[in-house]
Amino acid sequence: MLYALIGVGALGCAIAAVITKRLLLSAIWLAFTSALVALEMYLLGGPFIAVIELSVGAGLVTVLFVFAINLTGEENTYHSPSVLKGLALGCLLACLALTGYWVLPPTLVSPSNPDTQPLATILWEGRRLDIWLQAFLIFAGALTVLGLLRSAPQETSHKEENPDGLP
Amino acid sequence: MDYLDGVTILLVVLGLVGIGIYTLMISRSLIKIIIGMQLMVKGVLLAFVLAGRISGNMGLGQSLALTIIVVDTIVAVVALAMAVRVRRRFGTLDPRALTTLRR
Amino acid sequence: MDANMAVIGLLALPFIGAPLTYLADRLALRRGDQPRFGQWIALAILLLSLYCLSVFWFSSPLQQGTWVLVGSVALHWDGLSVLLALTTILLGSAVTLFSGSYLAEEKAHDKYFSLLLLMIGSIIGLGASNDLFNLWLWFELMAVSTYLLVAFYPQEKGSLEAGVKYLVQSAVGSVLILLAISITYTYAGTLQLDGIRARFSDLNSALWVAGVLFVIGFGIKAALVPLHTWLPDAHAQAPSGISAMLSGVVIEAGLVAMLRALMALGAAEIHWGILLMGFGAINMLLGNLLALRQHQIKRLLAFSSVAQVGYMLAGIGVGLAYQQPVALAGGMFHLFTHALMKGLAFLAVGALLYALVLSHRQHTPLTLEDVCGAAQRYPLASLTLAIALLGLGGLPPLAGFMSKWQILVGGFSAQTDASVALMILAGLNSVLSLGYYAPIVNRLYRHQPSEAVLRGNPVPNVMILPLLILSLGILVLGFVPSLMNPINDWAALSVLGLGMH
Repeated sequence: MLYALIGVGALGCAIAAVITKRLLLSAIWLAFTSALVALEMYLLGGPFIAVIELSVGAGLVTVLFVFAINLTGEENTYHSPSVLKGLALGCLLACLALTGYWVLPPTLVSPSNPDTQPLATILWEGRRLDIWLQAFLIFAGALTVLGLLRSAPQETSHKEENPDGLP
Repeated sequence: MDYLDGVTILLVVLGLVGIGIYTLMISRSLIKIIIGMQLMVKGVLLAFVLAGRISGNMGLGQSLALTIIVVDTIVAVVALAMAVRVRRRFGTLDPRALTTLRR
Repeated sequence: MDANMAVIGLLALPFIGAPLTYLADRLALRRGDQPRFGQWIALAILLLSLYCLSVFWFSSPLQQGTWVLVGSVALHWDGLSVLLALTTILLGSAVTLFSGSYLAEEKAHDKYFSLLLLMIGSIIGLGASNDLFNLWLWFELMAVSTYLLVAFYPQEKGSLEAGVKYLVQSAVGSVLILLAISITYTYAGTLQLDGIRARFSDLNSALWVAGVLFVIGFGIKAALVPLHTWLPDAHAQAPSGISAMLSGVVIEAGLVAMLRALMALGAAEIHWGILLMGFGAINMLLGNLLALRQHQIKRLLAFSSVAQVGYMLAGIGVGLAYQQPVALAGGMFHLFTHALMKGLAFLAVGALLYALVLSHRQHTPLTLEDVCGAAQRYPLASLTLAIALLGLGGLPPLAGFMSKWQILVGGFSAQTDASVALMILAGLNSVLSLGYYAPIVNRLYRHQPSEAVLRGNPVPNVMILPLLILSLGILVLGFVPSLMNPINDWAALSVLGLGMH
């Protein structure tokens, strides 16, 4: 019952994030969704991931969104005409209903190998290749952001030591 | 956790993914599109934690979800940087303005 | 050095090289020099990787492959991994050699070689991963390292637009893949590819949902037709070296990842094969028809990539649906020859683009009119471009003919209505594709030089060298296609799961 309540709350926040016209409000509703999802995860027995989701998903990402919205400026976002919206919604609901019907598990207790290790062992020992790859992903992401924000017109081109040779 | 709770969470997962896709389809702002992608990822995260619970290996589920959070945050940062750049170059965030290549 | 050391070296080298190239180029820029070292460090790393791969090839127990266990994540080096690694490293070396002078006018390309090495490293790893989640992570690293390379001129509207389209589509695809992985994990309780295959021994509905999501998610990268819309923009706007990599390796990496995931859901192998055959037919037809309408050469080549992926899908699909190793090996062979030919085509066009447009500090696209009569001033670039285009069109003494032939042989020997019809369609499409390849060759050789050609600057020799190497490869494989047979056959066996244990 608790799961259902929190789930409905999360879905409600998500819908609010979609239908609100202002980008800033949208980002804040996203943060609420994230917080409720984190609560759901905590109840499911994942305190570690709940804390991470709360701090990164609801905290850091929201800060990033607010920062980006500040840079781009609030812009009135018009949605598509409502006929198109209705069509999109219809297709989507049909797809989801079909998927949900197909994916619903016949039973939910199948602990095949319950000899589970502690989280730290799994994360740092078992999945250490994933951790290394994440480090390189962060490296690639940093390079990409640096490259994208390099020498934005008139603002940073004089501070950089490598101005574009391009018009 | 009984069967009904599992089904509930599965529906929440599908709902979040669905709302995310719907956002991608209708929104007229790049930042809104990125928010839609984030909503989809929230759903997927919940799905992984649920999968960990069902298969009796919570540790694995959590460590996979952690990786997804890290990777997805990077993608969001890159996407936001690109949106900022688009706004400066095109003067708008509307993806319909991105038509220089259409022919 | 034994097989184990060799594969570890193969995996680690690009990731050691990536920060090094960035540091070297960044320091050079700081001192106000032209960055030069990055290119040569990257090339050295790639040649070392090639050496590791050859050591592995000569010392590995064939058919079995080599398992490397990192923590609980297994990497399995089998035929498919070796084929993908070989393709990537060969094309990557050519692109690295080519790109130094191509970017010389940019003055801000310190991130280029670093990201290129990351991309190459992640594709090598992707081919070997035996863990579904780990496979996704390699795939995502590949995607993130290409975002900047596609939007490499963010001050240009077109480049930025291509980057945005590419990023949004590939990010959505990757979320769908994650959803499929979570469904698979929920039902199979394991992430090992062979473990999942064993668990999903019967057809149930979750398997279908996961498989369809895998096809959509990886299909965005592999440019299956309704999902291909990012491809022409990204390929046409990226720097030419990156266009070559995207077209020659990245979409194929998407295809390989899709194959791995679908083979984990191997209970429905035959159905996946038929699905891929269908996509193959649509890809060939639509890619060729759209390419016929194009005026910009790079855009034309991009649409021809959509068509060429169709041939690979046809070969692989027939191979899976009717258990035909010959067709599957043909698809794998076409993966390799397509990387050589399309890589060469993009690089040769890049050399012309550099000479005619970029060295004048402009950023306009190269159109068909611009290259008229280019053979008179740029004989080598035009010759190699002609070889690449005729090879792609499937003319006999070139590599493209041999790989297409093998696919046709495989398809006809399956002896079913569907496969024979598909092969006839493939043959007709090959003729149709000459409808846009041949006019380019005609323009290069038989037209009066255009204004752009007359104003053009010379092409540096170091850009010509990789073109010659690649065209040599195409000619040699055209005359001695059996050189690639051991790798192709091994790759086909690994996909069909026969070489697994």
